[in-house]
Amino acid sequence: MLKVIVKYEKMGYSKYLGHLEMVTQIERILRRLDLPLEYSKGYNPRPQISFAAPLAVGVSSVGEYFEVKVTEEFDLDRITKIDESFLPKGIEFVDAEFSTNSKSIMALVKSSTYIIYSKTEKTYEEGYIREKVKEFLDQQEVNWVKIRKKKKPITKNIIGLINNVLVMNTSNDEIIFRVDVKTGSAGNLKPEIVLEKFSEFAGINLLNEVEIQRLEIFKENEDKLVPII
Amino acid sequence: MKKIDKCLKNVQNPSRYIGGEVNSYNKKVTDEMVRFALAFPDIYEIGMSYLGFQILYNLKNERDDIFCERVFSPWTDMEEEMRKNDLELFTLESKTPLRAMDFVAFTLQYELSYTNILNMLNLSNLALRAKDRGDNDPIILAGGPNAYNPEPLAEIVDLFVIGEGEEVNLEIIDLYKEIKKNGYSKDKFLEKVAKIEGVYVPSLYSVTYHEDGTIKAFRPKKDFVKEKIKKRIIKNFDKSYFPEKVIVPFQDVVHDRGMIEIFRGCTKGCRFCQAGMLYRPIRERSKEDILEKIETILNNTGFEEFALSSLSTLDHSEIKSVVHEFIEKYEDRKIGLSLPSLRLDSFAVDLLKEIQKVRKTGLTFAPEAGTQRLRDVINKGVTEENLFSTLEEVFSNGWNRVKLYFMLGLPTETYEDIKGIAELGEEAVETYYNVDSKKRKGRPQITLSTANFVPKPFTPFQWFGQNTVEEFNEKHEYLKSEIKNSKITYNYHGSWESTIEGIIARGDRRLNELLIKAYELGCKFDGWREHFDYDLWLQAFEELNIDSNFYNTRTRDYEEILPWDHLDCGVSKEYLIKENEQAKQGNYTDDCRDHCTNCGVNIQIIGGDCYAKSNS
Repeated sequence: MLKVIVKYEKMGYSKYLGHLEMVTQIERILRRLDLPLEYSKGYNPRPQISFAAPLAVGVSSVGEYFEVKVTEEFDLDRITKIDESFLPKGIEFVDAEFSTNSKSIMALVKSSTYIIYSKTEKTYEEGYIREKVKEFLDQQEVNWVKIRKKKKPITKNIIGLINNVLVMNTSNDEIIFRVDVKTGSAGNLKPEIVLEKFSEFAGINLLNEVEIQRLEIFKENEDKLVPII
Repeated sequence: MKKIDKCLKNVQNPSRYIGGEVNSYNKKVTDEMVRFALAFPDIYEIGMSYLGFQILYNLKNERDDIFCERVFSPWTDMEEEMRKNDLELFTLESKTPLRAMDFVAFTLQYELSYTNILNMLNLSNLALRAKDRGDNDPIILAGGPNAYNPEPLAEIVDLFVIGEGEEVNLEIIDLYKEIKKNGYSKDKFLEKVAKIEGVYVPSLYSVTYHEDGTIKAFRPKKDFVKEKIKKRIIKNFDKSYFPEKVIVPFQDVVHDRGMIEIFRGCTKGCRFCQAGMLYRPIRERSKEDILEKIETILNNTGFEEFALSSLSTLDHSEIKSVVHEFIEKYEDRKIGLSLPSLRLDSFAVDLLKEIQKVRKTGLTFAPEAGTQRLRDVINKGVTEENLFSTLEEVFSNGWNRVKLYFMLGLPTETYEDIKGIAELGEEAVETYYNVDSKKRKGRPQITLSTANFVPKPFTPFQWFGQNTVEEFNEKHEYLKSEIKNSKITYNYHGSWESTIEGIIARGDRRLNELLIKAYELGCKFDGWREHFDYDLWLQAFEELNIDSNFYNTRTRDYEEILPWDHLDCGVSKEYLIKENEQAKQGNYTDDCRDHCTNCGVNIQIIGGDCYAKSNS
């Protein structure tokens, strides 16, 4: 089985594209490139595309991935040097490589890193926020109540799903965090939940105006976390 | 954070408002540029399905001195956010408020979208009435099929384009640029633009009424203003503009596929069909041209499906080889073909078999009426034999889902005709079971679907009194009671919506006040069942003391001046009268490809023979 893994960016207004829309868009871009795609069988043959990890609508990213099944190798420049006009504004293909890994791309994913920009009512001292973050991460338990449709809410301790939280900057009534969380089937946490819980813990309203950007998605390679490609 | 982002973060389907799709335009704005907004008074998913919208978008954007952008009606969640954040309605491309445009041009496709036009003006902080908008406001333009009765919007819209907009749009813009150079005023522009053929400026005409409410006279206010507004057509259709790049939409749009119009017009002469009258004469694109354009569009979009569109696609003279060559060429690339508006004959089934090599779908046919008598009245040339031999073939080839489409409330209709619809459904099920069981698949699923007949301007039925809400409702109940087979499903449209549609469709200038009143009371998205509120409309009628029956259920006589009589669509009133009389007799009028039926379009519009004549 041969696949191409493509790394792409989703910036600007394109962050408002939903998952299904992205599937259709990518499908048409690939058809347009006339690549040797492998189609599914049946009455409605479609290229077989999977994404590494879902990205919430409204979150931008410089490190997204999808893979698509192909029938033979070809010059990858066709993807990485694609004419900008073939892509919706804000989407960019940055890298591509072939893979014969029978595991789906989703199964490889272990964690992701995000930058969170959060507007605050005043400018906080960086050292103070760092100290609060340290206390937050030193907790044994961070309980989060998951609201579920038509089911009882469940409470989950999410501390083990948070790999790290860094304070990048505090100025201009804004705090910038870098958040590293587990992602994928073995454990998954959304960055906004970390922000929500920290906001609660520190007693600072951080949820008023939030911008989130994913930086990278990681897989495991010889016990180390490395980018998907 | 920008206001737009604040809104977009809190709405469903935010990509309706962002633009930036593949093949959309993003130009650097200059002072000299004419800023044009193509506006669709419904949501993105609907507006982006109209081919004409894409044609006009590209046509203008291919010129460097014009920036044509798009705007759709924001869904209610977005509207709420916009009002909360004090954000004006903006274009998708450059996020510019509509107020900063030179033109805002609305596409009029259905009457129940008119309150959305008012809402879009209001969201732009523009006055609803044309007379209250000045030299610094954009010119509000409207076109599309419903512009053939412009009167219900005549006090809201500044100017209408009657007929095919491809050429006239550019003429209007050129004139505007010219006037801008020498000191622009709205009045000066409107007086000059009114001279362009196909342009109607309602403020330059006055209407007087008889005591019974009918029109007494319709006159130009100034002597240089033309009395009749003749529709515009593209004479050389085969060489006419067609965009090579079409926008690849976001969202789950209604027609999410490549499209090409393979011919314009229709020769069938169905008496209820407004499009069939308005889009005459018939003009075909050649096979070579069609296939070449399909290739270009596919290469520029990556669409996985293509539709050959027209009013009656199978009537294209080379349809068979177009389909054949399409399949041959694109089967390997897994590109499907869809043929809207199927005929009921074996030719259609043969083509379907070929198409379905790639994808299999349900089938829709439109017998339109339940008995032969009524089908003759409406001039729908379909016999029961056509229907059942087609269905037999369809079922023998492995289809089991068929949808049959009818109208209720047609002229001369009796309960026998309605019963006929149920009987056709029953016979369709029987036809299925009579097919050799080795050949057929699954279980039969027959859907009978009825629309309520709405008489439209420029059709032979334009004088006909529409059924009342109660009559429609009784007919629905009756038909429901006549359908007893569990293999048959029955769908129908709401009678209340069809009533409002009917009132506006044949309305006059006095309905401008009604639309504004209904809007102020809270009407919008009237074409959406979850938003349509009949009681609010009733309240609007009551407050303005307007008798709705005057507009929809009243039968007009031939002498009456109709609100759209000052427009000339090419088809003569004499022809419409003759056809209405033929309908009453149940006489069939031939397809005008066979011989000219003297509708008048050749004399009025072309000044020569139609396609049909020159090819025979």
